[in-house]
Amino acid sequence: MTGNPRAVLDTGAVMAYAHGVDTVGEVLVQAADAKAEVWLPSTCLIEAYSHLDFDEFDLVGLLRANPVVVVIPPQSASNGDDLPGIGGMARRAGRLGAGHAAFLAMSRAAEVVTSRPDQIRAALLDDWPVIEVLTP
Amino acid sequence: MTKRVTISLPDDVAARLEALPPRQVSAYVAETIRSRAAADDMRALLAKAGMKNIPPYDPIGAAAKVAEARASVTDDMLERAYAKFAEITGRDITDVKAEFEARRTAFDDR
Repeated sequence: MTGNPRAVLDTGAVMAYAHGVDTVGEVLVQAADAKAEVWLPSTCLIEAYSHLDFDEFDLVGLLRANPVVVVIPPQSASNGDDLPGIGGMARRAGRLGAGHAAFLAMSRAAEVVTSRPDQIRAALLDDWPVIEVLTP
Repeated sequence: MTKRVTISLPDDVAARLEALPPRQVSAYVAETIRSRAAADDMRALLAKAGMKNIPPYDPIGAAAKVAEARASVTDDMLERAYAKFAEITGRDITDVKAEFEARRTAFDDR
């Protein structure tokens, strides 16, 4: 894994993908065509599963299986403990997944694809680049 | 396991392969096909998810858009984000900056 990801997917982006929203698809094909990656925080994935219907789980599984999409769990190791930082950002954002997405976006200077720009920007900056998606 | 195949290529494409060291040709072709396959698989996935307006394969245009997206987070933004993070977590800004620089290396090793 090298270089900054094309974007970080927040929970709403995963749900938008499962519901066929084109905006998410554009980001994913850009990453695929450019041999880049899209990062998916594991907490956002869990949040998305908690909102999706069971019959949508297979679609999310296929997304996870594509090499362009890299699921990033929180790390707690000697070379960096993510947990306090994610927790602090989640408190500011108001949601755990948003905190994790914001943390990874700051770690790698990446845009965030989200249905809640307000939450991401509460944890980062008012002018942090986001791609807003609408979840049906 | 490998399989030997014979293909015909346009002159300009063949010239690219001929310019490579002989032992690197197969790896070059395999890497190129795998990248294209990942892009094709992604499109098939998005169609399965119900997306109707999937852009055609465009590696040059995509690379430009990815570079533009990466440039959209400026050094000034990062400095301000680090300062806000330091405030949120009650930490010293110098420590925060040093940690996130170290994280860049750590992420590459994951």
